Amino acid sequence: MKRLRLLVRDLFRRDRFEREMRDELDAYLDLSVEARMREGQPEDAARRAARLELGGVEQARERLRAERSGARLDTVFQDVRYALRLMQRQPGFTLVSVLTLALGIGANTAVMSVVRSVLLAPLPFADSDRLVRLRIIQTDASGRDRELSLVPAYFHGIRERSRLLERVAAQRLQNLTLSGSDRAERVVAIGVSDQWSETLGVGPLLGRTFSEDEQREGSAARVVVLAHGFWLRQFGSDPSIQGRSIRLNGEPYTVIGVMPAQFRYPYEADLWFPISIPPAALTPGDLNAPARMRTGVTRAELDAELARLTDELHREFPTGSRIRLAGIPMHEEFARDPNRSIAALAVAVGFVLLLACVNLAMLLMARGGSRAREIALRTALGAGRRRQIRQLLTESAVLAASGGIVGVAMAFGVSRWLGTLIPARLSEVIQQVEIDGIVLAASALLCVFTGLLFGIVPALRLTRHAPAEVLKDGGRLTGRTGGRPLNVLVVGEAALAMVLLAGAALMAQNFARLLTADVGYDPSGLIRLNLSLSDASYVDPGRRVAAVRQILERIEGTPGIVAAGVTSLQPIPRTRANTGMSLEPDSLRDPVSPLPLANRRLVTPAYFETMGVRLVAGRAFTELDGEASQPVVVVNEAAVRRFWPGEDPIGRRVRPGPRGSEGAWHVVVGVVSNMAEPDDAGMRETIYQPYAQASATLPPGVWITTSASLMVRTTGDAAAAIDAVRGSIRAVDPSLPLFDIAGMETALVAPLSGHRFGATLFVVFGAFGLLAAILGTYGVVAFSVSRRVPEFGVRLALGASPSQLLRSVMFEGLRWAALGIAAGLVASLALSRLLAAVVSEVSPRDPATLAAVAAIILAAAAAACLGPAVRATRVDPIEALRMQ
Amino acid sequence: MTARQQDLLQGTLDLLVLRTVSLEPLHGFGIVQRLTQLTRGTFRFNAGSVFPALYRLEREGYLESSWAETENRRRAKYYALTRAGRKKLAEERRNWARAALAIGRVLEGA
Repeated sequence: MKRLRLLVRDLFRRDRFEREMRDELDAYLDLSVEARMREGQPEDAARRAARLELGGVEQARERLRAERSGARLDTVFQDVRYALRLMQRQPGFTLVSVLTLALGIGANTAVMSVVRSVLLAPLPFADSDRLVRLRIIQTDASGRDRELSLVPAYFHGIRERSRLLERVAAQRLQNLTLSGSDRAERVVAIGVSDQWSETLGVGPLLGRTFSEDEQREGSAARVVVLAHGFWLRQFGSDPSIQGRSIRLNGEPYTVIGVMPAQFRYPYEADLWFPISIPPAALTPGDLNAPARMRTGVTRAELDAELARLTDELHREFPTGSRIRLAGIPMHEEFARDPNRSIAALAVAVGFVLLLACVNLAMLLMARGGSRAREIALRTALGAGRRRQIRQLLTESAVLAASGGIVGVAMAFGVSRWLGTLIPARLSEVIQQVEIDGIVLAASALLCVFTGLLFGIVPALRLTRHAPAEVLKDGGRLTGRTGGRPLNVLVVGEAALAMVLLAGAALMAQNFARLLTADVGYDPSGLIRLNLSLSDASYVDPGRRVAAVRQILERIEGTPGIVAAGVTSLQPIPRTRANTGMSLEPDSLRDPVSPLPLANRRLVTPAYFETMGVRLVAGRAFTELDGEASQPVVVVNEAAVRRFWPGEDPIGRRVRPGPRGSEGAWHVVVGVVSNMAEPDDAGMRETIYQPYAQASATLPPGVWITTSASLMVRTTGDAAAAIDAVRGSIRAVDPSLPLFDIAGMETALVAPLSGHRFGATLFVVFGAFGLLAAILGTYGVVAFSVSRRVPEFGVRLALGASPSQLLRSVMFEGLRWAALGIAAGLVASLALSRLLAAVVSEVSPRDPATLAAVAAIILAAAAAACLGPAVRATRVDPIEALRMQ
Repeated sequence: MTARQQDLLQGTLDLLVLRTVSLEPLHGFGIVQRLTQLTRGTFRFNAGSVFPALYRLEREGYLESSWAETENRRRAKYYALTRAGRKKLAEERRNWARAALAIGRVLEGA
C-alpha cells in the first residue's frame, strides 16, 4: 500500500521530487564542504573534493532519478517521445522500416487468423473425434483408389451389423426449387435419414429436428429444418418461423426448426428434410454417410470391423469391382488438404518477418555510425549503459509498434481475400476467416518480440564503446567488427529473393497461360444460364424434354443470338457425372474388372454448334433422335483414344450405366473434338446422349436431367441477350428458377482463383524478397563504408581516384549478391520439382525466366550499392585523417 | 583515499546503511560520515552510491524520510528505519553471520 502511495506521489509530483532531490544533494554538499573546511582545506578544494566524492552532481541526480518509484514508466514515456521525434526527423528510414515491418507483421497476423479459423476452430459437431464418414474405396484396374459414396444396401448392412458404430446416418443432396415468393429459387436441400442429428451431435437453434415418426420408413412427412443462413436470407431471421409452410418443388412443407449458424454440413446446405433409404438397393444412392463410433473405439478397430463387413456385404451384394469400406475421421476429412498449404504459408511468413528483423538490424547498425557520437555524449553525461540500451530498444519497439499497427490494418484488408484460401470442403463448416481478440493479442506480442529481435544487436553494439574513444574518433565507430556474418546475410537474402522471385515469375506466367488456355471452344460471346427442372410439375421426364424444346424454340430467332443449346449439369460443381460404360464386346468377355468410366452429358442437337465444337466423324444429333428412335451417343476424341484406340468407333455399341443395369445399347454415331466442359476440370472421355432420349434411356428420378445448363452464343450486347432469354423462359414457365448466369469468359476464370491466389501470394513475397535483398545489401555496404571512412581517406590521400574507390565498394557488395544469386539459382532448380505440382503450363526451369530474374536482382543490388559507394568517394581525406 | 581502501563487498551496503540508521535517524552526509568512522576507513564509501541505496531502500519500504534541522540549523533529509526495515536488518544480520561463519570455516579449516 505504502509503496503504491509512493509511486503515485512520485509519478504525479515529479517537480516536488526534483526539488527535494536537489535540496538534499545541496545539503549534503554543504555539510561535506563544511566538514572538509573544518579539517583545514580551502573552500574551493573542499567543494571540488565533495563533488568528486558524489561522482559528479548531474550524474548523481540522474542515478537518483532512476531510483524514483515509477521512474521506469516515466523514462519509457520519455524514450517513446524521443523515438517518435527521431522517426519524424528521418522520414525515409521510417517509411522503409515501417513498411518492412508492416508487411512482416501483417502477413503473420493474416496467416494466424487463417490458422485459427481453419486449423484450430472446432468442427460444429459434438465429440467430433468420434465421427467418421463412411465411404467405399474402389480400386481400379491400374491399382488407383477412388472414393465413392455409400450405396443403400451397404448403408443398411453396416447399420445393422456394426458393433463399434453407435449410430449411422445417411444424407443425400437434392436440389429443390423454393417457390411461393415472386421469384423461384434453387435451394441446396439435404435429404437425411433417421438418427441424423443424433449421429452428428447437433441440436437445433430453434424448434426441433425430425421426430422418429417423421423419419419412419415410408413416412411422407413434409417437414424441413432450415439452415441459419437460409433462415436469415429468406425469412429475415423471423423468430416465429416454426409452423410456417413453404413450397418446395411445388409441394407444401412445414418448417419445424432452425440449425445453429456454424452448421451447414454437408454441401453448404440451405435446409434438411427427412428421407427414407430404400433397403437392399445397389443403385448408386449418392449417400453421404456420417457415423459415430462408440466411446473408446480406435480407428484400427473400426478398420478391422469394416474389413469384415466388406467381405460379408460383398458376398451378399456383389458389385463387380474391387472395393472396401473405410471410415474416414471427420476432422481429417476437413483438414486434409489445407493443413499442408497453410503450414507452408505460416513458415513462409515467419521467414518474411525474420528477414524484416535482420534487415532492420542492419539498417539500424548502418545508421548507428552517425549516432555513436550522440550515445557517447550521453554516456559521458552520466547515462548508464543499461539506460542507453533501454532507450535504443524503446526506439525499435516504437518502430515495431508502428509497423504492427499498419500491418494489422493491412491484415484486416486481406483477411476477406484470405477466405478464398479455405477450400470448398471446409466452407461447409467454416464461414469466414476473421481477426479476433486472440489473433490481435498474438500480433501485439509479435510486435514486442520483433522490436526486441531487431533492436538488441544494434543496441548492444552501439553502447559497447568507451565514450572517450568514440568522441576522440570524431563520432564514428571504426575498426573491423564482425564483417563476415553481415556478408553471409547479403548472400542469404539474394538467394531467397532469387527463389521467391523465380517462383513468382513462373507462377504468374503459368496463371497468364491458364487464362488463355485452350478449352476446346471459344468462350467469348458465350453465355451460360442454369435452370432447375426439379419442380414437382417436372417429375415426368417427358415434361422436361418438352420444356427445354419449347425454350430453345422461343430463343431461336432472337436477334443477337446465334445459337443456343442445352446440356445437363454436374450435381454440384467439382463433382463429375461419371458413368460406368459397358463396351461391346470387350467388357462382356471380362465380367470382373471395373467398367471404364466416362463423363456423361445429355445435350440438345444445337449444343455442339453453340459451343463451337468440331465434328470429327459421323454426325451430330438431330431432332429425329427422339424417345422412340434408336438410342445413340456421340463421343469425344479422348473417349475414342481410350476405348477404341486406332479403330473406327462409328457403329460401335455402348451401354452407359453400372454393371448389371439392363439399359439399352446405344450406337456411336459421331465423334466430336475435345473440350473442357463448363463446370468440369480438364478434357476427359465424354459421351453425349440426346436430351430427348433421356426419359427413355435413364432410370426415372436420376438427377442428371433435373437441372440443365442453357448455353447461348451471342454476337451483340450480352445483357440484352440475357434479358431476351429470361423472357423466353418466363413465357414457357414463369416459375422456372435461373441461377449462375455468367459469361463463359468470366466463368472460366473463376475456377482459377486458386492459381491466382498462389501467383499473387508469390508475387507479394517475391517483391518482399527483392526489397529485403536491396535493403540488406544497402545496409551491409553502408555499414561497411561508414566504418572504413578513415581507410578511404588514406587511400584518397595516397592518390586513389574516386572512381577506383567507387569500383572497389561496388565490387565488394555485388560479389556477395552474385554469390547469393548463384546459390538461389541452385535452390530454384532443386525446388523445381515442387513447383511443377502447381505450374503446369510452363517449365519450372525455364532458363529465360531464371536469367531475367537473376538480372533483376543483380541490378537491384547494384542500385543498392551505388549510394554508399558514392558516399565513399566523397570522403574528405583531411577530415578522415584527422579522425585517426 | 589510499590504495589500501577496498571496494565494499557486493550487497553489504544495504546492511551497513540499515544498521547505521537503526541507532538514530541520520541525514545522507551523516550516514556517509558514520560509515567511514565505524569502519575506520577500511572501505571507500562513496556518496554517489550511498544516495541511490537510500532512495531504493525507501522505495522498498525499509526506510522513511523527513526533513529536519541539523545542529548547525541547516535543513536536511533524515532517514529512519521502518518496522519492515527493522525486520530486514535482523534478517540481513543473520545472513551475514552465517556467511561469515562459513567463510571463516573454509579459511581456518581444511
